[in-house]
Amino acid sequence: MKKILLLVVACLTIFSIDGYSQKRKKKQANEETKQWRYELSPESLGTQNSKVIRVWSYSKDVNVAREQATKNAVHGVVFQGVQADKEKRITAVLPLVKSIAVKNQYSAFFEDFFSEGGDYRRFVNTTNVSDKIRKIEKKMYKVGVVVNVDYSALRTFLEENGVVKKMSSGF
Amino acid sequence: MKKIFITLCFIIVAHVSFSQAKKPTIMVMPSDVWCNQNGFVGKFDNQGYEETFSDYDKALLNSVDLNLVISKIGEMMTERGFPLKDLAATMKSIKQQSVEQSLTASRSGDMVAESALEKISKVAKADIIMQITWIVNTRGPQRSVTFNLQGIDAYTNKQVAAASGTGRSTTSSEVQVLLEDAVLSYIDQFNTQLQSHFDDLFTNGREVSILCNRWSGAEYDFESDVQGEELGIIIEDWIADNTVEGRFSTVDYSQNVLSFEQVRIPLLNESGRAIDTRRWASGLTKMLKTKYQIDASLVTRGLGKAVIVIGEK
Repeated sequence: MKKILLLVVACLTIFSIDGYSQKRKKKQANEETKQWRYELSPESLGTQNSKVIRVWSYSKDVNVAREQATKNAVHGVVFQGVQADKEKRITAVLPLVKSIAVKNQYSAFFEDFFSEGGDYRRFVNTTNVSDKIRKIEKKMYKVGVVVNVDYSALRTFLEENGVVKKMSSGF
Repeated sequence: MKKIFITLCFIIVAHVSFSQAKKPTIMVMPSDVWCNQNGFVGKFDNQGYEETFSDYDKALLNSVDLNLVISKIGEMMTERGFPLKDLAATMKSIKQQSVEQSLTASRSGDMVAESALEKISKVAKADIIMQITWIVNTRGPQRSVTFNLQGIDAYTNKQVAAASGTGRSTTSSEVQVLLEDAVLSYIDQFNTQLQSHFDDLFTNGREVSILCNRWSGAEYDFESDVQGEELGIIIEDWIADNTVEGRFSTVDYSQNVLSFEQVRIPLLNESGRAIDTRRWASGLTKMLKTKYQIDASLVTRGLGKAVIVIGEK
């Protein structure tokens, strides 16, 4: 009986530690994402509506960097765009929001959009392309994750919320 | 009270629907270079000179690739709120109209009147022409596509947007796949530039050109004094007063010809209704008639050029 009790306590402890560790990683990922330290490069052409990009995120923890990838990718597509790759002959992805004034004007919208569980998640998926992990400093990793961003749907969403002007607006 | 409310609603709805500028029509057309390279051209004798013209009918009937590119671009432009004017349908409609016109006669046997100028201007028209050119490059077993997409403003014949480049080389993909890739690669860049063009239209007005001539038997020329002011100056002043921020440039000013270019006309008139070149230029002919009793005829050439001939209507 005592043994069973000990076993149950041990299991609960392991689960709670694991849960705590997951939460801590999530929190750490969110904290580190706020710095928006990432790089984007085109991976392949994508389809009619989507862009396939590799997002390189930085963190002391590889898993935290992985967690950041999707949010960083959407942030990059919205504000920075992705440079063309001449070797792969992939054209640039143009940023959806080009003006800093618009970014500032809709800061509350974007805070909500990029929040934990925010709408950004609707427009990005990870792929089955393997991640690339590079140790760049003693305690710093650069992790490249390939994601698929639904560019058309993202643009439509931003248009519907008045952040981005529709091409047909005014007509 | 109810009546006032209904009237107010009606006025608001009318105001909203009228104060929108005319949506530009966009049409995808193969470039003359592409038509020529692929043998889709016709020839005619122009007073002893052999002239070549692009035969769009032949191109549409024979090139699967062209149809594919047009429909792909159409799909993507529709998604951005700009359904394309279809080249094939427009060509058919022009032909149909010609056939109907040639078969239409009045009871007394008169045919439908059509001047030579009207016949010439019966071509597929759109505000913006998306002109496409591509070539398939072959290097050994490798194939790639060089693609060029140009947006030509039909009012000014100026290039307002463009995107071009060469896509990936491959041994396995069909040309159609490479063409589809090319459209996907360049359409966003093209649309960004097109958006800038639209922004410019809203801020600075639509760019058109105005040519004023006189009939040889007209009472006045452009240097004649009319009520103490030179006629050319009167016309120039009217243009300055009716363009967006007075933007235009006088290219020719002589006894018989006045020519204005980069004339920026507003997209909407004072009552908030969308206007085009003809409607705008008719204001000038109206002013000449009411203020100075000068008759003038007005002809539009294409979408962005108005020709006013003074002396007779």
